[in-house]
Amino acid sequence: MSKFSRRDFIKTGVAGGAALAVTQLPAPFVGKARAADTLSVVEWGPPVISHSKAIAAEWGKASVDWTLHAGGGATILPKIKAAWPNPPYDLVDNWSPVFLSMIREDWLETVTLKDCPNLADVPEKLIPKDANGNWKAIPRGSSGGFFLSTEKCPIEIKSIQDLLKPELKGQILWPNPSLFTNMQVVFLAMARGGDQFNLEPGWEFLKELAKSGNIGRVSATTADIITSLDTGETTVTFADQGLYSAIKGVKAFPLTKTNKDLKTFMYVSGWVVLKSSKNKKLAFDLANYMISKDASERYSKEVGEVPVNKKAETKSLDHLRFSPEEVEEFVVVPDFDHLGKELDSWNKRWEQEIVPLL
Amino acid sequence: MSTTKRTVLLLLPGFALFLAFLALPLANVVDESFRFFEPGRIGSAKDAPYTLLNYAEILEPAYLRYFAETFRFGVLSSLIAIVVSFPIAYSVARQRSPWLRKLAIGFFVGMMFLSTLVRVYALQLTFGSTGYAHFLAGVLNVSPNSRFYTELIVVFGLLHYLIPISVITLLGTIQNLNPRLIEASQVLGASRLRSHLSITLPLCVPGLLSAFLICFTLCLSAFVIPMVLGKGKVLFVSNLIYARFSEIADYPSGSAVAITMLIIALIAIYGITWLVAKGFSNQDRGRSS
Repeated sequence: MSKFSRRDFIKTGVAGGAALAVTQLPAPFVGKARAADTLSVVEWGPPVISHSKAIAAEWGKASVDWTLHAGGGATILPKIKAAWPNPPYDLVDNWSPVFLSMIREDWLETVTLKDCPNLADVPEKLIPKDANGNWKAIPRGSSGGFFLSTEKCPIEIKSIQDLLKPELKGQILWPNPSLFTNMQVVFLAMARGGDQFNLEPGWEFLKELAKSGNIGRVSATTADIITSLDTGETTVTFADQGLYSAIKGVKAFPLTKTNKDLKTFMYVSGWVVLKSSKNKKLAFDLANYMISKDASERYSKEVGEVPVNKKAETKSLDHLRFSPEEVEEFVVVPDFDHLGKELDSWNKRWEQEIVPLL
Repeated sequence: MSTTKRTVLLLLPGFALFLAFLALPLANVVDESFRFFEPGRIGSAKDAPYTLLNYAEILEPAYLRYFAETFRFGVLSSLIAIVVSFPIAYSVARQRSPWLRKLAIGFFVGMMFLSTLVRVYALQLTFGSTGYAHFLAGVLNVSPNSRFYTELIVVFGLLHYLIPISVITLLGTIQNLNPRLIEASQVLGASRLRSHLSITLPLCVPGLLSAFLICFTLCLSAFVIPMVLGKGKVLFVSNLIYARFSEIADYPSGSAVAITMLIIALIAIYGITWLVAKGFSNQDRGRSS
């Protein structure tokens, strides 16, 4: 009788491991060999990555190694920190609150008009700066975060209070605090008299929501949001314009300008060049190309965000176009520095008080 | 060259690897776990003062609950995995056809090479909203978005991972068991069930314990399974650690949770091993007296 002995198993394992090691061994050397003429770029998932890849191919001055964000924008931070001063990235696409964290760590190369001439077409107030007023990022788009529902939602949502209605049992997809810097809870707080500096009413609201059983899933990544809504698992969530554009399997409705308690928050997204980059010139050049008039127009069309290049003609995004009166009523401009500093305590509060109720 | 010198030289490469890849990173995590975290920063500052705060917050009832939850899933899934795997391993080991036996072993070894992500998303597709969620939830009379259903799918995910490993672990134990012992007991009048309960099972306890401990350890460190199948409602301690390191950049708190988990898991594993060993030695003493 032939037996499959421990020795056979170990032999197979060792052989497999050795084969794997052999295939992986050259990777660092290949990486070093490519480093001189290859840009390493961190980018969001679809539709942003497909847009950026097409634009980078047109630019054509260097090949690009793409890395996808895994989770919220802040998930790239520990990867950079762990490898600092030699992180394997040149150019990173991110958004307002993460720009601030990176500026605090002094990781970002200062950008000037000489590096990025197309910044002349971007309103200066939108360019993230350090304490000394140096430009630290290259904004590409401006966008908003808002509640949205899909055509499969059992009720029409007219107010934030409707989230508590029993018809929505299991229908809400709630982003955890690391997504959107917890602005979703800020909006709950605002509905009950609080704000981003006083979140207590928001936590109470969220406890009621968790107890109601209406939260069917908690999203930790943007992919969760797209998949869950597309498949009809959930029908109401809080998302941003990029995510809203990526929902293709079901018709979604942004709940902006619907009711004064259904707020929208605005932010800027774009590029940063790391100080550690060995290819700064190329990185700035690619970022500059990405914010050109033509690329910005395509960005608006393909990604659905409003480009910050003043010369770019954009498609109509009525739900994110606010009159001055509407700005007063519906729009919140977050203090991202404050939000970034509170995120740790809010995440712990989420784990301690909300998750046990789900 | 003396034997001692040769031994030291032979041990040196292994010791160096152990030091570089396990001991030093672990020491770094221990150090980080006692550092003060300034909100808004990424990890602790280089000159951050030492503090016990990171450990103190783990004593909050909510966090103790996460540890208890992780252990509950670990024990439950490991027990189910062993109960399901044992008869499978037995039938494979006692399979008369060498061809079928090789096929079965190949299947279980092959399962171990299947990516966890593939398994997890296969389960999500099968038992999620695009699969049989409504049917299965209807049979169980629960909502597909209920906590019970979510926990059930997480257990399925763990079992998908644990059963092949348990079967392979138990195969060796059962193969080493002399089948004549069962035949002898049946010749002496014991039923099949009695023979297995009084001979097969007791003689396989060391193998069952090994399989349980392997499963239990894998459950405690499971990360992708609760993250994807748990819908954010079922969080294991590994998910808490991930959130602190990757989403919030609070390395000191993440390190404290990781070190606490490591210590508790080691105590649990050594405790279980000690208890079973003690039970065995009592049994042996009982037999010899």
